[in-house]
Amino acid sequence: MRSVTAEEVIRDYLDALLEGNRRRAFAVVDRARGEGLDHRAIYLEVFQPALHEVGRLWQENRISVADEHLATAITQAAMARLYDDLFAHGAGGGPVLVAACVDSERHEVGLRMICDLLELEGWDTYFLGATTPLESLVSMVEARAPQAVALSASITPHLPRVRVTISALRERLGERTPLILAGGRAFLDDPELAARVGADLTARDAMEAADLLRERFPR
Amino acid sequence: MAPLAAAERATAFLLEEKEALAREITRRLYADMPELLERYGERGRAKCLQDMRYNLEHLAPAVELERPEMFGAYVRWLDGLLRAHGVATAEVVRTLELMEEVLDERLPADEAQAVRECVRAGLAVVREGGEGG
Repeated sequence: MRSVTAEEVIRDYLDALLEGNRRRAFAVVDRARGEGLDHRAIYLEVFQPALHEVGRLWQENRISVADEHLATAITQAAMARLYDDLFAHGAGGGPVLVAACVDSERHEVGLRMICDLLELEGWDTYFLGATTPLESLVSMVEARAPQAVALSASITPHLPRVRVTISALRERLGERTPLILAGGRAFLDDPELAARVGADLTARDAMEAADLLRERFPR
Repeated sequence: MAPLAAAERATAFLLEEKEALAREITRRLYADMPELLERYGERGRAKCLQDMRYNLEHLAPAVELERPEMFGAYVRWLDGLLRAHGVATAEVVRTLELMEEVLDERLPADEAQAVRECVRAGLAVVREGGEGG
């Protein structure tokens, strides 16, 4: 049973982020865990909306780029802390996902969330993170033979590189090409865009991505 | 398909010539609106040049993927961001007009056409935006 609402937790968590206070942010997460919010709720109902709000505050010139980076770094650290007990729960041995941000893309939190959510369900995920070079991504996919690959782009200048990456994967792997999911902020305004860059699927956020992949590859 | 090829050539030009194009658009903007230098100083001019680079980087995928509305969405976002920093929409409008002018001069007709559609989608957003233009 939850005795706190996600809204209350978001407010406290956001305050901690804007203060740049990592210790306080961790304490908010620990308290929420103690009061019944599970991983999924903390990711989707606290981290995700809090970071969206941080981005909005930056756009409105109410916080600086440095504040925004600090908030992101704190959230990544908070996710890493949760990841430890995630490993204690997740059994592994399920479908495999390789997730990467191509080239100069640095917005990696969304992909990381997808990986962690699927790990909770027993998937084995390989999160390559920001700025992964194309050639090494293709080799990794070839070696790991995952069921799915997830690529993300936060801004439209990164889209051509997503397209080139997908066509390189298809060219190298042919019929062995895994299901390719492309998402991120750059895809949100245009539902046809993912298909246009050669992806099989797209999703609006980490939860939808994880749900779609789970449907495609039931355990 | 011929129009696709023009879009691809235009995209390559935008990215290869980004620096020279950004400098030329900035030069014309400051020649046009000398008050900008008084208002924002040299630091403002450097920021403006950086913004011109970003504008071209965002124009390129819209041209390549033939998605004018993609550049329109970027301009809407940019205008919101700049207004929060006290920059008037009229400056954004002028910037885009100069972008169209400079690219029109330098590109063959078919490529200029592909680019113009995207720049105009951006212009439509800020012209309808209230401040006129």
